[in-house]
Amino acid sequence: MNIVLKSIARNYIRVFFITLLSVLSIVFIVSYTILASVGEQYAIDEIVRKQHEQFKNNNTCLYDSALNNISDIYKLEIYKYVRPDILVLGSSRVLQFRPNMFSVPMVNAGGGMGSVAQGYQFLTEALKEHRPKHIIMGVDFWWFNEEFDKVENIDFILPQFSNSIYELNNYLLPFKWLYDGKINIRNLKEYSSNCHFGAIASERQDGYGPFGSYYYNSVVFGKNNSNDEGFKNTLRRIEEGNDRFQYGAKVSQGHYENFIKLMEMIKEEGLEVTIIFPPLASIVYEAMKNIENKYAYVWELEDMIINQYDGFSFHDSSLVSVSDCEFIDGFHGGDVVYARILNNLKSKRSELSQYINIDEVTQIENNRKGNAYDGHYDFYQHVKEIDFLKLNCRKN
Amino acid sequence: MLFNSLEFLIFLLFIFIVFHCLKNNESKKGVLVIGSLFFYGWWKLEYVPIIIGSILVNYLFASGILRKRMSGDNIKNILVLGIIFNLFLLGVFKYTDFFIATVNDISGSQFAALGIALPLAISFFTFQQIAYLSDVATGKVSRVKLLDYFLFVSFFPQLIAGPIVHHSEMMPQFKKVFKKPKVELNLMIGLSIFVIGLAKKILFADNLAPYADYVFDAAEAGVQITFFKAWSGALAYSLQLYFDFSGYSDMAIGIARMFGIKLPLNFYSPYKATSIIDFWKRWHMTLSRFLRDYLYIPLGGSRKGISHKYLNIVITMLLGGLWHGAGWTFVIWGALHGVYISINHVFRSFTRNMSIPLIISRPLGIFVTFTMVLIGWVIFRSESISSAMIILHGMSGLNGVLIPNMILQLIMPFIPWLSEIGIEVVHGDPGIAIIEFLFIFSGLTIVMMLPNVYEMFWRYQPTIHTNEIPKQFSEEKILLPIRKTLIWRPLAITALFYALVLTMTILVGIGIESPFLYFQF
Repeated sequence: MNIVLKSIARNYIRVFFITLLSVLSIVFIVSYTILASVGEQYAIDEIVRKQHEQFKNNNTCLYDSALNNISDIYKLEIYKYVRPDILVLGSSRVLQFRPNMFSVPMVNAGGGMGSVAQGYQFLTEALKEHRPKHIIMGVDFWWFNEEFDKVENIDFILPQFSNSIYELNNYLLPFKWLYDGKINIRNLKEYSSNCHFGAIASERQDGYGPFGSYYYNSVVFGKNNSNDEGFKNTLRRIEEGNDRFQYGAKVSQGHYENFIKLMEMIKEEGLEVTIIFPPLASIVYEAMKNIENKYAYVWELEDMIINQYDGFSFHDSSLVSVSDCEFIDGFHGGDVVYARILNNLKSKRSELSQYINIDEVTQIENNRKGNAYDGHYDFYQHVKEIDFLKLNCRKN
Repeated sequence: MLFNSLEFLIFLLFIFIVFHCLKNNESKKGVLVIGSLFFYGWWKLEYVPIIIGSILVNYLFASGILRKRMSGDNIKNILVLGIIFNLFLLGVFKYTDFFIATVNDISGSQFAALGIALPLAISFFTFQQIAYLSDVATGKVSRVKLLDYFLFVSFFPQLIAGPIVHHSEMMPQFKKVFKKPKVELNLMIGLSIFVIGLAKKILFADNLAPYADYVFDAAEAGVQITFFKAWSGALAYSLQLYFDFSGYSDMAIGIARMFGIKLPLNFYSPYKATSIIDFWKRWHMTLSRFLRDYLYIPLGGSRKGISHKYLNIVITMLLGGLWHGAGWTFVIWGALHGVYISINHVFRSFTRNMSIPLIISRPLGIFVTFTMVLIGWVIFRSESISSAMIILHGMSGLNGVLIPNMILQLIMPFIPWLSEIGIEVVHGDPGIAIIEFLFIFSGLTIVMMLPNVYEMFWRYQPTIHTNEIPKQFSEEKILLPIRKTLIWRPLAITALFYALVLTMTILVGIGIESPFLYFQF
C-alpha cells in the first residue's frame, strides 16, 4: 500500500474513532447523570432495601420507573423482603389496598398478576420464599375473555431479573423523557434530593410505596390531568368493545382451567384466600349492564367464582355504598373504595377479619367520603385533593 | 450473535485484534475458524457438531473424488453419494415436517410433525458445499488443505446468510491476502461499508417491520385489507426485506474486508431493475449464480430447445423458491418468478428489433418490474395462500378503498366537487400514519435514486466481480447530482459523518434483539 494512502487511511480511522467515542461518551455521561439523579441506576433489590430503610426513618419513598415495567419482579422482591402475613394479588386494580388497612404486615402485589397464568407463576415463585397467612385475590373479568388475551401456558417463564440501566438503548430514554416533558432538566437537583426512585416517581411523585400499593398523587392532587375525566375513556372502551372491555358470550374454557389450577395450588399449600371482583364506577357498571348480552361472560364468570370459590363481586360498587367520586378512573377504585370493601368483608369473611385494622378502615370510610385518597401520607404538603374526574365531587 | 448486537461488536473487536497480532498465515486462518465456530455456536451449541460434521464429511467426499479422478476411476457414484448426503441433511432438518404435512393433506392421514429445529444457515453452507463437490468432480478444483476448506465454509461474515461464496473466489485469497495485509486501508473501507449495512438494518428495516407485520398479521387473521393499507403493507415489506438482507450483505462484505477478504457482490440496486431478468442479476446475486451454474445449466439450460429452456427456468426458480423455506407460498413464489422470467424472454424476443427511447423504456420497465416483484413478495411473506390472496385483493381494490386520513385532510376542499361528479367520500382510514408514509417514501427514494454500496466504493473495489459492474453502472447515468456527492472518499469529513451514523445506529438499535429475515431460510 502506498504511504500516502496508508496515512490517509490512518487519519480516517483516527477521526472515525475519536468522533464515535466522543459522541458516545457525551451521550452516556449526560444520560447517566439524568438516570442517576432520578434514581434509575439501582437494581430492584437495592430499591426495595432502600425504600424500607427510609420507611424505618418515617420517610415513604416511592418507586416508579420510566425505563420499563417490571412490576412483577419488583413485587416479588418486596414480598421476599417483607415476608408478609397478607398478600394482595391481582392487577393494578387492587393497588389501593394499603398497609395501614391491616393489623399485620401486608404486601400489595397488584400488577404482578396481569392474567391467571401470571398469577400462577408469581405465586409459585413467591411460595418458594415464604407462605402468607391469607391471600386477597382481585380477579379481572377480561382475563377470561380470549378476545382480550389468548390462553397462555400456565407454566410460562417469568422474565429474568435484570438491572435495566445496563441495556444500551436505555441511554437514549432520558433524552426522550426530556422531549416528552416527563422530566424537567431544571428539576434535576430536586430529583437528586428527594428519596424517590425512578423518573416517574421523582417527577410526579407517583409510585409504589414500600409495601407495593400505588400512589396516584399527580392526578389526585392536580399536578397532571386525569385521562378519564367523566369516565369518558372507559365508556368509550365499552362502546367500542376494546382495551380490556372486549365483548364475550362465554367464559374461556382454557383460562378458567388455568384458574382452577391456580386455586388447586393454593388449596394444596393450605392457604386461606379471599377472591374479589374489584369494583367498577357505577356509571361504568350501568353502561355494561345496558348491553349485558354483549358481556354475558362477565356475569357467567361472577356466578362461577361466587358459587365455586365463595368469591365476592364488587362490580356493582353501590353494594358497598361507594361514590363515583372515590374512583381513580372508571375501573380503578381509590383508597376509600378499598377501605369500604374491607369493612364489608369483615363480617362476611371471618378468616380475613382478624387481620383487618378495623379502626383505620372505619375512620377512612367515615372521614374521607367522596375522596379517592385516604389521607394517610402528605406527599404534596397540605395540597387538597381535587375533583380530577370532573364529576362535581366535593373533596376535603 | 447478531451483527447488530453489542456482543458481536465486542467479538469482532477481539477477533480483529488477535488476527492482526498474528504473523503466521496458518495461525490467522486458525483464529478465523475458531472464531467462526464460536460465532455459530453462540446461537445454539448443539448446531456446532452439525456444521463440523457436514464440513468433515464433505471434505472426505471431495478428497475421495480427487483421488479417483487422479487414478482415472469413475467418480460418478461418489459424487452422487456426496450430493445425496447434503440433500439428505437439508431434507431432514428443513423439509421433513413440510413433507409430513403435505402427505397428511393429500392422503388425509394424521402423522404427527416431528418439530425438528432448523440449524442456522444450513441452506447456505449445504449449497456452498454441493457446488464445491460438483467443481471437484469437473476438475475445477485441486487439492485444498482441511483448514482452508473449514475457513471457506465457516468464515463467519458470510456463514449465516451469505453471500454464497465460491471456492474459486475464496481459496486464492486465503493464500495471498493474509500474507500482505493492508490493515489500515481494509479497516477504513470495511468499517465504512459495515456502517452502511448496520444503518440499513437498524434505521430502515427495523422501522419498516411493524407496518409490514401489521398488515400481514391482520390478513392472516382474516381481516379484509383495504386498498391503501394493502399497498402500504406490501411496500413496507418489500423495503424491509431489501434493507434487511442487503444490509446484512453489506455488513458481511465490510467485516470480511476488515480481515482483507473481498466477498462477492450480492445486491446491485435490485429495485432499479428494468426487467425481471435484470432483477435476478441484481437481487441475491450469489444465489442466482448458484441456481444458474448448478441447477439450470445441469438441467440442460437452453441447449435442448425453447420449450425445455422455459421448463428448466420454471423448475430452477421453483426449487429456488423451495430453498427459501418449506412451504407452499415459497414454492408458488418461485414458480411465479419462473413464469415471469419466461415471459420476459418471450417479450425480449418480440421486441428485439424495436427501438424505444431509454427515457420511456427505463421508467416503464422499472415500474412494471417493481410491481411484479411486489406481488411476488406478498406471496413470499404471507403465512398462507389465503392471506396472500386477501392482500392481493386489497391491492387491486376489491376489498374497497378507504382514503387515509392524512390524504382526506388534503382533499377536504375538493370533497363537494368530488361529490358533484359522483364520488362520495364517506370517511377516512386512520390506519396509515404520516410516519409510515414517510418511512415508505424515503425508503423508495433511497432504493430508486441513490447509489448502492458498490457504486459508492467502486474506486476501492469493495467486492469481487468488479468487471461485471461497469456495464450496468454506465447504464444508470441518468443520475441525480446528489448521487455524486454520496460517492465515498477517504476524507476526514466522511469519517466524521460515518462515525455519527454509527453512533446513531448504536444508540437507536444496538441492544434491541432483531434477527435478520434471511436467517430463517
